[in-house]
Amino acid sequence: MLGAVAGGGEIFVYDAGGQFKGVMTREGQGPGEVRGMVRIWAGPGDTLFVADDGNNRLQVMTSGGEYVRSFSLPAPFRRFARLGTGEFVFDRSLTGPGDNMFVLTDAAGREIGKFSPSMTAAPDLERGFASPRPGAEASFWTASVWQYAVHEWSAADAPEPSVALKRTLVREAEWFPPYPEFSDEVYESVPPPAGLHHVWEDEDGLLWVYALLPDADWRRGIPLTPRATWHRDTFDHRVEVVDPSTGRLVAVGEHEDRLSPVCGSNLMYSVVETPAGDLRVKVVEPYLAR
Amino acid sequence: MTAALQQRPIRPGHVLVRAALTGLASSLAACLPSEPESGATSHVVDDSAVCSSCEIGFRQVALLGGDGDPGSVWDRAAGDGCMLA
Repeated sequence: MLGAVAGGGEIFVYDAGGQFKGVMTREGQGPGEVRGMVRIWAGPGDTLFVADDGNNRLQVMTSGGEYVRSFSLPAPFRRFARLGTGEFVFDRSLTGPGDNMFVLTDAAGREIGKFSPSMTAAPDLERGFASPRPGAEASFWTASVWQYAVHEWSAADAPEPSVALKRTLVREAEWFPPYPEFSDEVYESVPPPAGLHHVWEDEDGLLWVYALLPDADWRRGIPLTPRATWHRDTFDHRVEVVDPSTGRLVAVGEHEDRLSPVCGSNLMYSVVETPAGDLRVKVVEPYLAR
Repeated sequence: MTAALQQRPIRPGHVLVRAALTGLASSLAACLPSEPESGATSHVVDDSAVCSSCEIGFRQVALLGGDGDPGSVWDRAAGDGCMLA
């Protein structure tokens, strides 16, 4: 099995050649069932960790879709990551001042800690996402969406469960003004602002930072719809490789499609439209040639 | 991020940090942790010596979809990540 994609209440299975093989789950609230938006993380032995916001729970499943166990999520979430040590990091939907952006739980869903970068600039615009460091470490990166800032954290069990900030990287770039001003004209007559979309540390310790920018050919009047064509015409991706030990920017690249991460790996994917109008998902492996 | 954008999370009267008003460096300084935790380090990314011979590429490893695929799902897959594993 190469992977499964969730598109709202269902998980689809494809073989290594990309051929559709069938539907793994059905919609519902019972064991093995999912509702609403679904996020998937493939773990060791092809174990699947499936979080659905319709049931607000995380289920552990076999690669064949058989239910193993589940736990309720500590808060409404948007994305999650599984660390090499088995803990989970959830980035949650903030509901008001004082909310923490992230929640760390153990493998059984028990909360270890809530935390946020000590940001004060515009807390109601804060959004973030998490990405684990490679290997069996309880370390991970988080990134803010509306400013170019990434943070490395470490989790500890002793003397008591805790989360500590280890490193912060910020980037000064004209093309990425922090905390953009939104108005009803964004997407209508104003192009979308830059935002961080993904961060990933590779096996060499280099950090891959993915930022969404307005498409180079953005124009007003593109119908606002979450279709693949809208994403293609609205966004470009800028990819930067940073050495976090020194802060040095190593390389910069661009991709014309809107990329999204394949969870738990360095792979990325984009939805593309064939000349006949059919949709496909293109999975790509980013690489750095020196 | 699409969902985030579509929510347009602005609060009336909120004072936004804008590089155009305050200068990029000072605005970013405001974004650094106001009280760095003990042992934490901070870097401002140094873009003064980007490797000129380095290139980021993308190697296609799979193309999903095709015959029998209920492909309308892919429109939704174009949103935030963690929908493919």
